[in-house]
Amino acid sequence: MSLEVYERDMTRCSRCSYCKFVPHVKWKNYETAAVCPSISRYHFHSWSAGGKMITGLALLRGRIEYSDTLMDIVYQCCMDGACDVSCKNQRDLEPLEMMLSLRAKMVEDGQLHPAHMFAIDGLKKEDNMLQQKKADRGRWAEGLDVKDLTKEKADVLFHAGCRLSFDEALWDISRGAIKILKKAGVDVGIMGKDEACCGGRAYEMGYQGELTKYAEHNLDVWKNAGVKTVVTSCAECYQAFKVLYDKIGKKPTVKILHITEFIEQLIEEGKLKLDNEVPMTVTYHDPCHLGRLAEPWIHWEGEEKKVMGQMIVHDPPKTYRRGANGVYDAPRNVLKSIPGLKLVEMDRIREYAWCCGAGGGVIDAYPDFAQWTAAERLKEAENTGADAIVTACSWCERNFLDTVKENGNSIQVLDIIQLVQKAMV
Amino acid sequence: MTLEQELKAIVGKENVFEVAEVLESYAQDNSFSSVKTPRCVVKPHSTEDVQKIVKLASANKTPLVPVSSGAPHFNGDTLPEVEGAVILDMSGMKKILRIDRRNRVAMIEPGVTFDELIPELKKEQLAPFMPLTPRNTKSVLTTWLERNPITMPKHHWDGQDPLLCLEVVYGNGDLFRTGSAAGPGSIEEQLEVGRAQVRPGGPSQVDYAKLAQGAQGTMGLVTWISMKCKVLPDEKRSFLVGSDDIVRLYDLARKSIYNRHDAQCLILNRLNLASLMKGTKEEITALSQELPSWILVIVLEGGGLFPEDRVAYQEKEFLEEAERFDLKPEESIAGVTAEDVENVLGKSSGQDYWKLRYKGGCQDIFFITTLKQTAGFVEKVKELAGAYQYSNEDIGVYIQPAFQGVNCHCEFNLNYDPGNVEETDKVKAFFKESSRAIADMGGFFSRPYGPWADIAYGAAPDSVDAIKRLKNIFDPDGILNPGKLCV
Amino acid sequence: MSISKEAYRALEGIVGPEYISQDPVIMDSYCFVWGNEVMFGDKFAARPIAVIIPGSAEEVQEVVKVCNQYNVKFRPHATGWEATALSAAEGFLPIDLRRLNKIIEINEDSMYGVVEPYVSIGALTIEATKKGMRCYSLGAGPSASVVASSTSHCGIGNASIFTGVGGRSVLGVEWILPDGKLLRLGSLGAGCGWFSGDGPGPSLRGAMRGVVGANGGLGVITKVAVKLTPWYGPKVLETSNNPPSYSNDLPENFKVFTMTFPTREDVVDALYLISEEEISHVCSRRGPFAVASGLVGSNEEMWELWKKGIYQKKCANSIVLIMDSTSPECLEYRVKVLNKIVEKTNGAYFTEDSHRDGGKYAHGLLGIGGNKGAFRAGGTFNEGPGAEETMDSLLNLQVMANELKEEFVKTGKLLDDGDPIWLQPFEQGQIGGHGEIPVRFDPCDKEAVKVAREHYEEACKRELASKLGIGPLEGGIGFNDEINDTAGPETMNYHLWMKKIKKALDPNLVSEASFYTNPKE
Ligand code: SF4
Ligand code: SF4
Repeated sequence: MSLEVYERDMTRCSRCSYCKFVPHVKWKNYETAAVCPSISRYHFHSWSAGGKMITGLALLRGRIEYSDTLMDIVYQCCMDGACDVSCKNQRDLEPLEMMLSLRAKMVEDGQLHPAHMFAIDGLKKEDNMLQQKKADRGRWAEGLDVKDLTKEKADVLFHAGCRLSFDEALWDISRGAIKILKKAGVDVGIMGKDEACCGGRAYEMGYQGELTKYAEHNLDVWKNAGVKTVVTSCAECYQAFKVLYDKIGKKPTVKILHITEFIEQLIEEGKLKLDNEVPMTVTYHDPCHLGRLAEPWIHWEGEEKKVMGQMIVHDPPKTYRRGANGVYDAPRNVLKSIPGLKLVEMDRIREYAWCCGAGGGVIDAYPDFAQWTAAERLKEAENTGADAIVTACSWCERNFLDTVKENGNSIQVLDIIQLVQKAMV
Repeated sequence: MTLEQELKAIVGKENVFEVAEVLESYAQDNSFSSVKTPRCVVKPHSTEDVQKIVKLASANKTPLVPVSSGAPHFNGDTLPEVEGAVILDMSGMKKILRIDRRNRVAMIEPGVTFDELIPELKKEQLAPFMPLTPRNTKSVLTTWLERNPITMPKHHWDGQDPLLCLEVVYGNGDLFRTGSAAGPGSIEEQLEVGRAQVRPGGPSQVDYAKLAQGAQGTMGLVTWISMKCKVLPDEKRSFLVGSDDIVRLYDLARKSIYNRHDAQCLILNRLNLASLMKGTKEEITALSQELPSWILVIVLEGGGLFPEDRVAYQEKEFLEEAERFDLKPEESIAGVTAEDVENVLGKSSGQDYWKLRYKGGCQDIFFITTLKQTAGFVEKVKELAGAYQYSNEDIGVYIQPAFQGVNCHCEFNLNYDPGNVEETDKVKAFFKESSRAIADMGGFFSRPYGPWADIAYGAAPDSVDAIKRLKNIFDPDGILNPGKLCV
Repeated sequence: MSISKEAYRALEGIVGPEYISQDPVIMDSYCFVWGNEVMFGDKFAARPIAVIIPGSAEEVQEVVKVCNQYNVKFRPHATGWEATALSAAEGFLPIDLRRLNKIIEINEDSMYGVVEPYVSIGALTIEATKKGMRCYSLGAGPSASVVASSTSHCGIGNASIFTGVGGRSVLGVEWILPDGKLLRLGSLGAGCGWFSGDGPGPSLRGAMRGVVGANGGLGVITKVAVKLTPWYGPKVLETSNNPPSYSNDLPENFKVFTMTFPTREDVVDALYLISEEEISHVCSRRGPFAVASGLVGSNEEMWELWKKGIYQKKCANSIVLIMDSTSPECLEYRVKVLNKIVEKTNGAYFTEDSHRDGGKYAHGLLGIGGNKGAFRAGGTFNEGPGAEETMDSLLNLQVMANELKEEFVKTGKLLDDGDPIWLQPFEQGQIGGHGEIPVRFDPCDKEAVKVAREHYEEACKRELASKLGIGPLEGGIGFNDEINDTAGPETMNYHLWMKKIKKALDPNLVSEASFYTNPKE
């Protein structure tokens, strides 16, 4: 959607600043009331979602021009959508969609963030965000004895994603996923070097064409491979496949599952037994892309109209995505199935979780900000008394691990997969 | 024309007094304040009189000292600090201008006393909030204008209560009305559209009443106030809770305030309770010896649709809480019934003011603090009394929770025999040192009479500067009670 | 107005380059608030001359001193959630106080809280609740600042009947006067702590604010202590459901009622009785639209509900009440009283299905919800006639204001939502209460903005002429010279005294006063 589409939303922003905070009814402590990393770190109102509404309007009206400051305002933002949930708890506005359009407009107008070029060039050259060799993409699975779906057939495709394919320190997770699936008797395979990026991160950076490109590619590949289900342990890939592809009219015909959903199902079906005691206290970090951003897309096309003189409604009626329908319970249910494991919750969870800081191109362009955001989250996690912060997204993990290393936190960073493996006999 | 002649032209010659005897009577009170004899006393009978007098005084740069209550005075606030002052005695302005049952509000002039107001309110099923048993000559208006606390902390929403709006003549003779009484429109026009001068703030972005309140007449002369009243209770239930440990009493008081009981709620030491209840020194001494050190007085009041039920549930809660604190609310202690106390709290002190019954003289020390801190002050005063060889048994203590439990008025009453020069001197010195010690410990002299002005303003130089700037606005010629406070 | 290089450098020297900016991209988000279109005809008011975010009260004081030195007009704001917090016809220096965000103390024994400006009502409420207390309630919702609402703006809400109002809850205050001098009110100034704001002698709270505050036109308040009120609910109020319909699980000792009445007069009679009987924690007369909109998740749902006609018919005159209690006997007594009141005033309980689950709208009424009713429908709203006095006088205001509104609703440019008056008793009715007519419209509709402005101007005139109040913003948002100078002559010339106070406290007239008063040189 072009930015113009959101001109009315921008004008109707009341500068209430709800978007800076967890929805008020859900506050548990003042200390953890903030929900927007961007405004929390940079302070000037422009950095909040409301501020970006104003900035977008100022830009449309020609009051301001492109500048480095504008670039920072727009890109020092994780696109995690917490603001969107808080705003929409009150209003029928679309701050997140507006921010996506603002980024798309910048890209369209040639206002490219230099630091994002690394990832974008990587996509162009190697179909991944990390400028790694395409040929190496399947290396993580070496020795696993997993089907290569470019050659064989399987029901289920495990999509590792760029991060897990190339970040050796995290290979435990992707490999672990395969082991779990195989142990449960799942007929699973991978695409190896033929796996490509999901395109989601590029889309969030404003390169909307990349999403279309990869959606088309991936849908094709899946079709050719004849899989029924695509499962991934990367929340960003999951959200791209499930939500963004649908949003741009390319809804996959295969079933898309996050690994936690799959594991939950396997446990329910008795195919996976978690009998080992894991005597730990953990807290669970909801990845934004598995949580609020994973709420299914709701298509709507129509017009705004007025009733009662001035009440804004739509023809046909519009239903808003307000964040509650993300994947929140599956990972928690998996954790609860692990004997001896105690799950304690942080203050900011589910649709009002605090982002890890990596998303939206922040880890690429502003690593210090990404780590600042992660540090806030780690502090919150530590305050629960947990031994480990557990998550279900490789980007969150990378960012947390880097931050822990930098700041010397004592808390462990784990993926659910790692815990499930520990619990398996 | 002399000033006196001009004053006579305004109020009539029968309302201007120049004889030495009268003048002397306005130059002394029961405080240890220094004395300056006024040049004359003038008694206005209307706002117009007051306005004319102020204009005249302003033109002549003559100091005006307002008085509304009758003698005996206690705090030195009605004594001229400078030579050549004119006393403006408004005690003759006695009109009860309005009583409004539906809005629970009354409007009164400066000279109205509690005993005059109570029966009139009663006719309308209302009653005033009360300060602790005032003297019978005490002006209701001054009581509230000087931010005296009420015995019912629940209804003390703000330090200003129960004062709502007021009419004031500023130092240049301009008339002003504060709060919603300012308008738009005259009072009559306001009443016509259902307004009743109940909103204290404003008009607009200044709270003019707050600037006039607590100012001892230095910021303007108040010619009427509107004040909130309570519904006359149909049902009452009173208790005395005795203890030698004051801390436990205020824990219980706090809980009752927290539960917003419709209660008069105050703590007295035994001497003060005895002084309130008995007439002579001997009786007071005898009773005092029988009473516990501290007594929490609770009067639950029920009005409205189901007064009995209202009192009943509160009584139950109160008794349960008392049990939790291991305290025993009684209907009578040492022959003093709670009901008698309740009666004493509901009216003036009558002919003999209770504070003077024990020894004939009484110097008060009162300030604002928090309930929690009161015990510390009690200890300190006791310690100083020892140092001055002043009997601790001669000190009355009154602790009044205020501002819905946020803070409290803490009062020590130093009883002495004014005929005994040695004792008087001792008390004077004791008073001075205690006041200083209390301030040092964090007691807040929010109503800084006499020597407290130096203490309070010495500690708050930023307030002095701001008050002076404002004083210049409302009293450009500096004629309103000069020398008081810091101005 | 502009700012000289020297002045900018001096300011930058105080806060460091990270916390000051003159970048238009940044400054544009400091001239955009919801009152702008009605006040200035556009979403954007004059662009600031710079924006500064000091990190402490000491820095604020330095900033104010520099502003005096270089004749820079400044105005502070806290959360900025106020109709005109950032509006002016000419640029000024907004002082963004968001880094002053600490809760300094919550005192259980003496029931007060001490906060810095960026601490919101929601923040103080959540922390005080853990100790069995609450902050005064605020109609503007939880994201408004405690400092702003208690010292500088309005400070009233649905629970004002029980919690009282912000302006009358003020204790100690730390105030940097417009000339840069520090003034600490009450016991604080005397070094005794935060527990009182009055004295020694006259209460300077009176210069700080009246029925509303100086809207940032009189220096900067950097800390305030406010009275907290008892909270008989649990330390943590559990919630259920999903956005946008989060609801509170009301504790057993609370009850929610909606009552409907045949006439406006009955409503007012009931409000008098409920106030006097002191049985409620929350009690207000809300318009049918406001009552319904708390229950629905979106405008689309609202429209579905409205079309059924239930609310306009049955809730045209209604009161929403939340009852709290200190014991089972207390609750029983209060219910008995309410039943009697309803009977005496010809009322009935509204038992529509959507209303049974009181928790659905309780959070909004308890002051931790939000502003769905005001902003969602049309996109924004403005004030019609509004006043603070007895409920009887507000009934007259209601009649006048609705006649006026109907004239404008005919244009199709204001929401046609029935009689929307909000009647709110304060302090158990002992100081009257608040009445206000919100008019909702779409800020994107230029014609609607024009009509809203005309409505506002007419409301000013009629309210003054009817002697019901000074202007639409009485107790609502704030006044400006236009209103004060018109109303002053009818109202004891208060505006002249106010100008003198402004001049006395702000000799260089640098504290930007578009919504306070500007004495002429
Ligand atoms: S984006 Fe939404 S929540 Fe944020 S300020 Fe605007 S209206 Fe409020
Ligand atoms: S997406 Fe995240 S960082 Fe960006 S404005 Fe919203 S809450 Fe803030």
